[in-house]
Amino acid sequence: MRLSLNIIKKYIDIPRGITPEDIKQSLSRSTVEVESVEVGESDAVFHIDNKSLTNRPDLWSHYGMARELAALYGCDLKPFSLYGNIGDFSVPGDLSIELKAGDLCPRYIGAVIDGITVAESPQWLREALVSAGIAPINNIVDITNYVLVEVGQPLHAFDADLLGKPSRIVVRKAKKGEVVTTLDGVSRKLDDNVLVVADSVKPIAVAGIMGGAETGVQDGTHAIVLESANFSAPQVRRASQFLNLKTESSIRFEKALHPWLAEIGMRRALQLIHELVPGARVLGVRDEGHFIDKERVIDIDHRFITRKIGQHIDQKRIISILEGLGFLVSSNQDDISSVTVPWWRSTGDITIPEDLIEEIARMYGYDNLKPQEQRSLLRAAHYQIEFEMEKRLKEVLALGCGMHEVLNYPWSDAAMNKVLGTGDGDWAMVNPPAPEYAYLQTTLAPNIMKNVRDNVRFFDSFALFECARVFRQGVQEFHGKDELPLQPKMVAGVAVGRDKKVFARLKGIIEEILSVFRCEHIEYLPDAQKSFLEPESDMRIKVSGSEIGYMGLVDQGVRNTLDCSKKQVAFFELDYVALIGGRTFLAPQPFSPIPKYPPILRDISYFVPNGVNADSVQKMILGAASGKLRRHEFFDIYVKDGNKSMSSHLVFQSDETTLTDKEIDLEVGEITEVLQKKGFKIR
Amino acid sequence: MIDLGALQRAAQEELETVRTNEGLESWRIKHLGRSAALMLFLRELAGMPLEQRKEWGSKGNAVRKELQELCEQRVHEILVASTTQSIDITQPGMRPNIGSLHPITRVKNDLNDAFKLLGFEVYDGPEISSEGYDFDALNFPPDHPARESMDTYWIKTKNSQSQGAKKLDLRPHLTGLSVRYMQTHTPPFRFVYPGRAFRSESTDAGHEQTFYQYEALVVDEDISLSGGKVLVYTILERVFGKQVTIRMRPGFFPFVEPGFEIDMQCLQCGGEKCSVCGDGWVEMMPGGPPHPNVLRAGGIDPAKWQGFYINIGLDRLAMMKYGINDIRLMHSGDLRFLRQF
Ligand SMILES: [Zn+2]
Repeated sequence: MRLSLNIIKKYIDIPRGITPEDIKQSLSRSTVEVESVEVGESDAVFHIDNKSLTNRPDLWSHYGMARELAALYGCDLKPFSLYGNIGDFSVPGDLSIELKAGDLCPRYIGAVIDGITVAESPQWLREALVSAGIAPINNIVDITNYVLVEVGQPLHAFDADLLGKPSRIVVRKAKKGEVVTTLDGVSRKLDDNVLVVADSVKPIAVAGIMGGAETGVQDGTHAIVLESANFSAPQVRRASQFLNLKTESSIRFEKALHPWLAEIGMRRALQLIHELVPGARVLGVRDEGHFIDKERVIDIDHRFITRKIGQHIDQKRIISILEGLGFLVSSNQDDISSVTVPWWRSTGDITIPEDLIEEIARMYGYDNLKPQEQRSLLRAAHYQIEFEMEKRLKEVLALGCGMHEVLNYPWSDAAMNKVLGTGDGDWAMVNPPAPEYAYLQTTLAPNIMKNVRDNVRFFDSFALFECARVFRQGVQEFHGKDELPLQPKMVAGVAVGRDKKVFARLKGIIEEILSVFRCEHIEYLPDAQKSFLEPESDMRIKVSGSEIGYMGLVDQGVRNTLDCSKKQVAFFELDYVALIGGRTFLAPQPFSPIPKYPPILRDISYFVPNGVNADSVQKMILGAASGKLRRHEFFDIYVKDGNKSMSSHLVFQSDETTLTDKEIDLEVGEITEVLQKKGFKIR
Repeated sequence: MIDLGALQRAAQEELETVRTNEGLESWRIKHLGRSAALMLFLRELAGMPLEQRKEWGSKGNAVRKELQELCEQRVHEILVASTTQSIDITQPGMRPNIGSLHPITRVKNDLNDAFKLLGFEVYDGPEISSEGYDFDALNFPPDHPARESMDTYWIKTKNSQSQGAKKLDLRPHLTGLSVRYMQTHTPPFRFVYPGRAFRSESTDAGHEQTFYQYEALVVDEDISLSGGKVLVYTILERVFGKQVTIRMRPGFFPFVEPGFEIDMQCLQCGGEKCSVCGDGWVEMMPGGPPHPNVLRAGGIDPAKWQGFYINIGLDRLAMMKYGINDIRLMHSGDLRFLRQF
């Protein structure tokens, strides 16, 4: 919304020395954020985001803002300059009004005016409209628009001669199939979502939104029916959404205007017509409708105000703030008892005592409140494994394992899903951010692979990880009464390097994670069933019998599309909640005493038969050894001329004595014998 | 036959130039390793007549022995050289390979630490949530324009006419989560719930479709506006490590009454106006006491309990803290950005 300082100044005398920038600051601090102020030679224009004003129907006009500024600066607000008075407002005229939509149109005022000459508006009016962001058209249309921006009441003028005689106005729901061409030239199909203003036969306007093109004011118009009505907010909003049509009129009605404003708008328009259109004669005004004009009274006391705000504000100050804004305060010397809401704030904006707290606090100034420390109950802190472990996990991966944390979007790219064979997804958005991002991710892989592709131009080798939710078919239980999709938290990592060593590097990281989470009974099983992983490099990871994730080397075809054809890429994805495995507390790693007797190291090297893997060799060696073998580690594993050679460090130690060479020879002999029996060649 | 003399000379000359252990190892592999010319020669001898084997075998082995001795000598020389050589203290050290935590994770951790000191619990919940929690429970009147201001991503479900708890969304804010907590806990309580939220809007240097928030709620008998201010100061000072200047102004959100926005004086320019802030102030967090209808939706009696929400934009906080000029970098996955943290 655009506000012209010149129009505001018609209603208040801004105190000397207050600049447009000051006004911007004052409004932003106490009322609504002013985005910018544009100071020109003859006027200053304030810009306010419409979204910030959804709760204040009274501020959608210059008069409303003038009222707010009068309260802020403690200056007088001039009354509306209106035409005629209540007593002679409803005079008989050549117009009938029938309201057939009940609450949807609580009030409709129509005036018949003849002797009109359509012409250009005077300069001041044209300039005022331009400041307010509205293009001048002709005197009659300009007057309706000026009243809209000045007092906030939308008006509409029909050409009386095009309505038939006697003029008849019917407010009713549109019939299915009815069509009206609106002032913007668009022919609109209607149904009962839409309220229309009609003549005896057909719709002549979409109520509260836009007039019809056929019956609008034209150059030759010499008599008009002027409408100033009140339409229900939900109705205008529904119709506006149905027609996909927002106008200056509809955005005001949908915030809920008071039926009083219709009368003010009509009087102000008649006055302007009287002043600006020579020869115009008001033949008659009709005021139809039913609305309950009940004052809204809110009970409130000083103690409540102090408790909510957190500090004592003088009663006199409270009363002066509220009265400055147009509230009436009932009070005696000791306390406040109730507050009556002014009509322009009573359509939903102010309904409960807390709403009054806001009025008091904002006008007192939030910045003037002193921070107060609070007395409160000491409660036992509770250990939250999920958050403690997530922090630990990220620190281990980043600061311990040299990986970089990425945060990706929750949706995945259709093209990348195709490359990886990960499927479209299980949950789609009605209004996705882009056609290629129609689905939410079911795995973290596609987005991380994109990260790889984007970084490989700049870095030779690197490792990334992400910890985030994925979205899958199924139901997950959360606090709350709704049934929600399965959305488990995953942790995924990728390592990029020149050769297949990235596999060992990433597997080492998984081993580190599993040890951080104190996982036991770990198994690495072949075939993860992921088409983007190279066959025989992929594996499923099981902990205590349940599968918690997978890992492998990325397939050559996929690497080609990632610009990694000459590199190796290893990837893992683990289920974060499965890692915690239902535990509420992680047992600490128990301490082992430092041995008293020295360890003795022996190395053995051997060729292993085809198809024998490290895990089975490890099991053979541990099975053959006695308790004196404290540690077994592989080193220097290589394949040459089709033969796989392995070497093992064997560490022997006793808690009772220093082991002799002879004892060790015996132990090593047992081990080599078992290996030889299995067909291993000892080197 | 092989020219053992030439072979030995070449190896010796080369050895003269070796200065490091690595160099020595390459030399050893080349001249004494499995596939060195000398070694191949000695292996081939096995298939030759005895006479030749004897003669050439002893000659060859003599060369090998000599080269081995020279090699050992060189090991010793290199060792001596390395212990007597002075250290160039200006030569760069060897840096360990350390990864990085995302800047948003870093500020989130800072905030968690600050709030834990104040006795707050950490809470988490679903990212696909429902209209029931994200709008209905939060005092958004049905069919109200404020619902639109959230620019929500809606999830396709079988029944497109669904409403409330059955109408699924990608949560447009975290506040719905607070109602899930209130419904399952007994006041007084105080908790934080960090997470990401989603809005269907066009992106630029200051706007993202996926962004991170950090929200806190205290519900107690007497928590007031002034009490909430303490929270605001504590948080900002903890994150920025110094006193900051803030201002509070009204802001409308259906779930708070009264609602306000907290701005912090721009740290980039110290309030002198710059491209980050525009007018010297940066919008840091909205907040306010929960609207009585929200407490009711959470099963809490508003006559007895009151509360205070604050909601911090983590992206913006991280941008302010580290001087990041484009929010889109957060989701870029660009290592040139990430490795700086
Ligand atoms: Zn700045």
